[in-house]
Amino acid sequence: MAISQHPLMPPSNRPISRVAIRRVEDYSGDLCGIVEETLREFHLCVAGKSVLLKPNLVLGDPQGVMNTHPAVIRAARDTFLRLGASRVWIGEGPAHERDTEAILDEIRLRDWLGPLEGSFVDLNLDDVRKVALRTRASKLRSLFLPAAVLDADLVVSMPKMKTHHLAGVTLSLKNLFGIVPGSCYGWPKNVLHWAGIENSILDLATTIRPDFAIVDGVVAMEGNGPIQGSPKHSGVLIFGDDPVAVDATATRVMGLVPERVSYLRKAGYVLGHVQLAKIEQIGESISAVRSSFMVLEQFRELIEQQDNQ
Amino acid sequence: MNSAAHSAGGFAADVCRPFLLQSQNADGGWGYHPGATSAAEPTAWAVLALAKRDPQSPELARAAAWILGCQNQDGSWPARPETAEASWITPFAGLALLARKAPAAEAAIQSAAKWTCQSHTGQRHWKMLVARLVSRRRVVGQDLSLEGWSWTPGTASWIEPTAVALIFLRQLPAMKNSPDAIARLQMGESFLYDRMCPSGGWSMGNPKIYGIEGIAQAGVTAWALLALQKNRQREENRRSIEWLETNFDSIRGASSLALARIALEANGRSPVSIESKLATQFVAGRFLDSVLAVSQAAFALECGPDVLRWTAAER
Repeated sequence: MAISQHPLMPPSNRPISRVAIRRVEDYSGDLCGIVEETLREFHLCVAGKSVLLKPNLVLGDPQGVMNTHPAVIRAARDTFLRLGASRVWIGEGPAHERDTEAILDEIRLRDWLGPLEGSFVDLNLDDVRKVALRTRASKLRSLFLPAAVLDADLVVSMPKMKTHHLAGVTLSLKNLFGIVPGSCYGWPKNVLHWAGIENSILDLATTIRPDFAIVDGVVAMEGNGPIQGSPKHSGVLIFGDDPVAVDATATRVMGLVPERVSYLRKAGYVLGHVQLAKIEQIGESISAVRSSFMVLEQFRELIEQQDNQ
Repeated sequence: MNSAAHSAGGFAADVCRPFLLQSQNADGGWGYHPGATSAAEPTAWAVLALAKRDPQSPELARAAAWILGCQNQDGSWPARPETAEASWITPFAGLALLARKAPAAEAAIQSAAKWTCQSHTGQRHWKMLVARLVSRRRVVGQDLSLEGWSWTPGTASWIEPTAVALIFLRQLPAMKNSPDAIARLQMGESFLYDRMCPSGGWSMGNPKIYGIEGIAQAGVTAWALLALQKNRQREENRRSIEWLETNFDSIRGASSLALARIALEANGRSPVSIESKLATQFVAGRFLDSVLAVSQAAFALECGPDVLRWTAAER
């Protein structure tokens, strides 16, 4: 049952979170080895559990800039299976394209993963159940959510590292918009926009708190994301079992200040750590992989350099 | 079926129809996938796909009964029975009932039309009126005063729900004498033209974002062209038809391919052969077991635009 059992509590009551940054120059390397080595460091209890991997698949984009790269999805799937997962589903409900098959075909997901029948679920079209939201940041109160998500033992959010023209950044928490079913709310799930994007992210994140996050920042996106931005080679995969801490770390890697991203700051109050001092870094240091992501004018205040001006 | 080959009956007869007939639920509806809970959209699409051959078949009678049983008191349909709330599916459910040509559904169809005419987006909300005053046209390149139809009540207008509403209302002769309906239809058309990408085609909603042209999509473009087919000689229509034709060979996904063919045919283009491409895709991945995709493929191959023609009411 993927309704979050993670307690909502202020940062002072939570233990330190761990986030791993791994340098990955391109998608042709031994991603399975890197993912497995990293997952083992987190001692995730996977054996016998059903796992839902939630990548970020937006539109057909053969250049691999917009969507979580299939190589990363495959590495995660194979690793979770090797760690003893009883079943690994890949689930996504694209917000900007009704024809999910067209996206899978264009990014050649079958070439990477083999047959998808019985392992891919279109979250836009899955059966749904009504779920009361755990927080009331937005006016939504409840949402119908896909059975595949609700029935999974572990939910793994696998976003692409991108700037976002409405939310500032889109990472493992914003990625949860993809679980909201289009068959109930349409495309692009406009009820979430009308309820306030940032507050909707928060309500979804507290209700379906991902058990783990793997951010694809090998080739990321900067500027007018999440669709029309530019590719940005960042050369990292970022892992962690606190999605807020993972997103905060990824934001720092992008050269931005997570405390200035409204929904991340709020998530830090109840769900996970944003503060640098509360996050133990594994692997590469942030400074070793940090780069400066371009953002739209309205998000210039997120840029870290402004701290020193 | 283990190869893309099919008998003289064709892909629709050999694959699509059996798939649909076998996946109908005991309650008469269809889920989005075989075995899934019945929902309005896949049921309506299955009815459209099967109605041409035998609109009075027992399967379709049960399907129509399921659709009628889900209609809300106000004439709307929920996307799924469990969601209960009125939704964009209302005009599409109306189209499915029209396709069956069953007089018993006439009251339900009229009630759906009335709801469709009277339903409004959230664009009349005071926040949207304020937003219009400080127009974001320069950001998203669109006229916020234009209202189409939304996916769910009280949210923004989008291309597909607007297109489906226009197609449905134009099927009904009574709408021709309704000033409210006429005004709504005209506004809906204007909305679609306003949201067209400058180079032709439509994205989900925005023609431009921060000065960058939206990415046109085959499925959305097909819906818009179906809704605007009476204006096929207009320059904007020609540009978008050309966009769809130019990009036709690169369209992926059975659903997009089928919708594109239906739209081109409705706009006077000769039907493009898609049968072998669909068959190959089905062998590769069974269209992800999507009842929608299978229905749309069957509809494109066997029915042509037919019930989606805006002039249907005049024939």
